[in-house]
Amino acid sequence: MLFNSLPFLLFFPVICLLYWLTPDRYRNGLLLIASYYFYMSWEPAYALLILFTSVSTWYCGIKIGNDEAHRSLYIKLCLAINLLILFFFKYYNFALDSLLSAFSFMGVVKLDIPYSSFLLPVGISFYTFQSIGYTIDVYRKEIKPEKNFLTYALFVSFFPQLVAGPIERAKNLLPQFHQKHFFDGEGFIDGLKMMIWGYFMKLCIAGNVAPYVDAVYNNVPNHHGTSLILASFFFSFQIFCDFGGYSLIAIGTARCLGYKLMQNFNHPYLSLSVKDFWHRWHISLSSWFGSYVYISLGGSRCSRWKHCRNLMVTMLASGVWHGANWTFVFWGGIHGAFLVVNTLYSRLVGGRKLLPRFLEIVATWLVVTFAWIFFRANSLTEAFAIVGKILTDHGDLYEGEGVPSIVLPLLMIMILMVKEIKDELNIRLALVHHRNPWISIPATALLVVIILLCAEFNSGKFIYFQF
Amino acid sequence: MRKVIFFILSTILLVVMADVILGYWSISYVKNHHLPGRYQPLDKLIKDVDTDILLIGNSLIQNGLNPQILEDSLGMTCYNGGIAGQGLDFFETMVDCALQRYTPRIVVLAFRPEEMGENVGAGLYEVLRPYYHTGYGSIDEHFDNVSPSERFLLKSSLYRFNIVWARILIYSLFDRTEYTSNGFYESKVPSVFPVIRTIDKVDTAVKWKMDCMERIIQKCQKRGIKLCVCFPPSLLKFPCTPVPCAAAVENLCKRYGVSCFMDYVNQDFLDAPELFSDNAHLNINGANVYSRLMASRLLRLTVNVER
Repeated sequence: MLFNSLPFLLFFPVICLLYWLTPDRYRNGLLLIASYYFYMSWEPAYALLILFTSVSTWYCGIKIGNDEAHRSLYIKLCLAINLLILFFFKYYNFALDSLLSAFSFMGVVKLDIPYSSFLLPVGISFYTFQSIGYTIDVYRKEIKPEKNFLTYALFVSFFPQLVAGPIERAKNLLPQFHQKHFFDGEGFIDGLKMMIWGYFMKLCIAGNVAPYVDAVYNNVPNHHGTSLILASFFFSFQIFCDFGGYSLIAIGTARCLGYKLMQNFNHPYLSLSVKDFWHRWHISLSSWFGSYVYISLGGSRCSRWKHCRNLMVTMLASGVWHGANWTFVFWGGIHGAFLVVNTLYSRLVGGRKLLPRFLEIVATWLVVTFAWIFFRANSLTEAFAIVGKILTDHGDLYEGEGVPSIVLPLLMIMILMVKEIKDELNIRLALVHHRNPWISIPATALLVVIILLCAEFNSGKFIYFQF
Repeated sequence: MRKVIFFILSTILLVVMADVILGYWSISYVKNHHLPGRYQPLDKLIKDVDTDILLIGNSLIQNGLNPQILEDSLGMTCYNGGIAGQGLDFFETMVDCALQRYTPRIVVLAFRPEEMGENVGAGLYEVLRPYYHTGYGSIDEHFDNVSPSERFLLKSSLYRFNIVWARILIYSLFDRTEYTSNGFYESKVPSVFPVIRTIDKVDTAVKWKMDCMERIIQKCQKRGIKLCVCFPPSLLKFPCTPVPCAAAVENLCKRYGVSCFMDYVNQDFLDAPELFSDNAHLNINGANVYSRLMASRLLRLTVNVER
């Protein structure tokens, strides 16, 4: 079930109503059923995978907590099982392809190994990482193992963040399933407003730029560098609004049910450096990699070169997490390289500021957008061809479905950036969030009208579902 | 709780009010004005066209046939009603819209063979949303048969005019004439000529599309209109010729005595990449060459009609 589909717009109010009418002790059960229904509406059989992940990580969590002698065995077992499942569904074909290519390059006899024909389960990377994070936290004794399986199963499958995050930490979300939730009108309205803004981002920006980006990126040889520059600019906002919009809808949905999920984006395109960008972009994933990969490798408390190595390894792992393609690995590598440069540069200049704030923001955005080219391109060869064309070929601009198909998204992006800058600078100019309902209600209605008028309703699924 | 209910109901009420007001204005705008920009050829096709020759199809015909050449050669008026990205269901609706107003002498229907296969989906029918419930029976009929969710959303005027209003506004602000008054869109000659692309797999014709095709033929024949079906030239190399989809259409045409021209395998065009803007579309020079070829064919057709 997609957040931007009619079934969800019916499912959500029904669940909200039932949830707040149900006595507190039955609410987790209701949410668990709703979450599995939400997931099964896509592919019922794959709910078994979530169930298996829930059972295996819950059991290992209990054993790690109670069996001191074998705790390291159980954490290894838990990681091996869940990462193997993830590997099989997400990376098997990619690994096989790469292996066969390598063998063919070395002149080894062609091997006849079958490819997997299984569909990639939606959100597998998200719920696998969330459950692995839980077991590692138990292993590190940061939290106690959850004894109630149903509560734990709900933690893994909680429908607002099940398929594309935020990847929640057990210490934040699990205790909320044990708390009593009282209806909070302000919180509910806030949740609705977050959802509406999320829909604006997804439908009015990501949806409107997607046709142009697809038309150009899927037919690179027939487009000039000028069109590729515009498509890359649009893609940087498509990916932000698609994923940022999803996260906001998820956080808003949970808020309406009385749960507080972690913030996933914090004005990423106003970052002052690549390092700053990773504190603002997909915060739940970057903090996951920070805690469980970067810190485990030694973090920054080691020699300068080891620190750089740790940064690079973490970013390459983040690239691999995003998808089974060398383009994602390269994308991670670019970010890793810039983080290394950033770190060395910071050590060199100390605390001195060499560029004005505005130029730092623009430079960071350019670097991030450059890296997005590799993220979006269909292959590495094509990505390099795009970069080449951008630098050398400045022919006519492709107008897509006509001038409005370019002007309209630009207008929407302008609205978004005005809000981003306003929030970043803490400018107290509230319309939708104004305390006076005579201002906030018409402002909210206006936002809904803008969505109805400018949204691309056929914008389909969210990009991050594939990860 | 009371605060939440007040918030939700007031917001819905304001949205509904905006929907009614903007919807009323938009419907009256569509009825009384011509939509600008890329809606211009479609709007004209639906509301005004009364030419002797009517060209129906998608971008292949929009870029591929120059009505001026047909008019000069045949001495008949001609309109290019090709709308980019459309499919068989849309073509049928356009024929219906035209027949609702007048009877053209000749209708030329042009599309690519793959259009009949299942891998090419239905056309971008949503461009017709603004015309829903504005007096065009065939458009209403189509939308009344779509999914329940789409029918539900179509009750909202804001949804029907979604994106369209922005196009109207932007085109009104930046008036750019992209189309000639006869609907033809001149495609530029590219700096690098396209090369022949090989198609690996071709589909067989889908039943609902064949049914659509048959209905178009029957409607035209019922009104005494000479129908001519063609698959315009392309720079595509198919694994087999004739392509099963095209062969099915050719057989259907033969059954009804309708002229069918299989130009997608026309060697003269396959050998002339300089006539194309990309693999599928003719550029202005190619369009002129192809229009002269079609004019000679239509001339023979009209001579036969007059006899």
